[in-house]
Amino acid sequence: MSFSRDEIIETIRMVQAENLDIRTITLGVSLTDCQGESTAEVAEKIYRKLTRVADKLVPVAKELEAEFGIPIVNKRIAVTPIAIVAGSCREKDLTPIAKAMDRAAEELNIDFIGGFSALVQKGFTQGDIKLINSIPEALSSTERVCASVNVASSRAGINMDAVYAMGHIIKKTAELTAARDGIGCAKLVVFANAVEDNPFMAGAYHGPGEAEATVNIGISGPGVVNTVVRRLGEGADFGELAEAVKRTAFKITRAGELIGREAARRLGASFGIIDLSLAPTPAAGDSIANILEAMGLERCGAPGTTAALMILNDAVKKGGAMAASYVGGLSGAFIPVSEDAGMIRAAEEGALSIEKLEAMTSVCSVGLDMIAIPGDTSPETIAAIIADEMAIGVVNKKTTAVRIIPAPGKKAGDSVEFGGLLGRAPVMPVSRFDSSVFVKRGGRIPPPIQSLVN
Amino acid sequence: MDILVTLDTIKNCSEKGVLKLPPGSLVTKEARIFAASRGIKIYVGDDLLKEPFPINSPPAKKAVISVIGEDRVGIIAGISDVLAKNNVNILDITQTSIEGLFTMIMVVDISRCAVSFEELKKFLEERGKDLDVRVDAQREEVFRFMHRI
Repeated sequence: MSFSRDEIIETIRMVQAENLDIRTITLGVSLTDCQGESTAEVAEKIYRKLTRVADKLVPVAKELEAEFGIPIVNKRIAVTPIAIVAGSCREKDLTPIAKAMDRAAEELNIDFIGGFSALVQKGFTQGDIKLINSIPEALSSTERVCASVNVASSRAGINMDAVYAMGHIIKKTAELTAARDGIGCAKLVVFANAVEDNPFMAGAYHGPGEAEATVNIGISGPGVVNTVVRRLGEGADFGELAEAVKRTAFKITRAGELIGREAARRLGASFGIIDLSLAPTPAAGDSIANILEAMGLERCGAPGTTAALMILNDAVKKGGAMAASYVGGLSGAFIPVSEDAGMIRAAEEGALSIEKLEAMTSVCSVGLDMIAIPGDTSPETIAAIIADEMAIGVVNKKTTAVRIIPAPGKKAGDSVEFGGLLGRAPVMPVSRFDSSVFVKRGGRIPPPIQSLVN
Repeated sequence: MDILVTLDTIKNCSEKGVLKLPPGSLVTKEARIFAASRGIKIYVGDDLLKEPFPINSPPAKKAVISVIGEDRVGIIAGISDVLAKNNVNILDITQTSIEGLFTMIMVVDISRCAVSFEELKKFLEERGKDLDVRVDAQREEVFRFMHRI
């Protein structure tokens, strides 16, 4: 036999007992040929193009799932930032375009469609302004559309006018979706250094440098890594720990590489990248927090958590980089609170605070992710939280993001339930001290110096 | 004239079977692979472009079937029966039974399988249910990719 029994059993165990899966196949589709003079015209062109180009996405994913025996959890589409596509429309409100995207997504039976986006790190075009102003209405009147706004980059600095505006946009989005605990905000990300080929939602969009249609793959497998780390026991030193994670990451990533290449071939699209991110789900055992705890921390958030996360993140990249021909996207461990059972427990027990999460984001992707905060948090405080997170990304030349939900009517200690992959979030306390004078200064924070690196 | 011909150029061209391009056209490898998969022959001037060596190896001829469950009489017979009926040849088989837990792994040749892989999988799963065991079938590449560099 060309494989040993143990190797075959290992793979089967990974899938059946440890939640190994392909987290997402995301088809990036360029919409640059869908411009027009009115939102109705653009909406119609987008709907027609998506239903034509992506009609095989879900059937192909199902075929691959059956043939290779590895579940593919999400099938998604990322499109050219709508601010670019719709810049020429005469109307101010771009909600009809979001609705057309939603309709196409529903018809194609995909989970999420990303790209209701604008890139404003240096300034706003007419399209950017229209898009940002349309976000609350667009997210509250659609189910599957995801929005993102890039407000900062290491080369441009931080657009504080955009940061302050996003504080208000997030509040407004939460209010419009108050009946469902502000779920609109779970589909809205504010970025520094956003990447063009990210397959993960809510931040996926199809960058201007991408091909006509591209398949990007997000891998998964916190459960598999968790089992490996636990099996090592307390005696393993950090070299051995990193080695074990690396080996496992290699295997997980190879599964993604195989499926990605095959999906691209069958869809007649370019193969883009594998995103080497360990993405958790609310399912038991599929948690990043549990891996950190398996390394020897009583709870995620305890002193040592940042170091543990750094080891995990780096080892996953090292193992994964060898396994994939093209690596890209966000490529780092995710720490979304509501989507990770271990993070939820740590937050509920008071082991994990927003401040600790912020520190953790400096060593992993992607940022303050899926965090519920009290509904009465001011737009200024939200903007200041965003500014802090953007600063970490800009200085460290990495992607960071904020996906935060000011849950209407809730206070610290309450809980919000989004259901499905978005999970359940404990409402975490936010500093009561005021930052409004700071965030209202406006203008752009200059980019950091690129030498003098200490 | 197109200097550069990409995958999308081929996708959007209406010609079937043969695509004639002017001399000097540059055709990306991705475009050539796509054309080959659609059975389109590309001529640059008078020269026929060679089909590229595919990035992916040709579709699998082998699959791995795994059976896990409580040991009982007739498991191998039952599974082999499904395979024989569908013209699937068993290349290798290994089985153990430790403390009543039965595991069997088969490597089979599916190149002459009478039904589609999905259907074969369905038949195997149904037979597994009758036998009270869990049967999985996966294409062999999964294991090759995960365990071999």
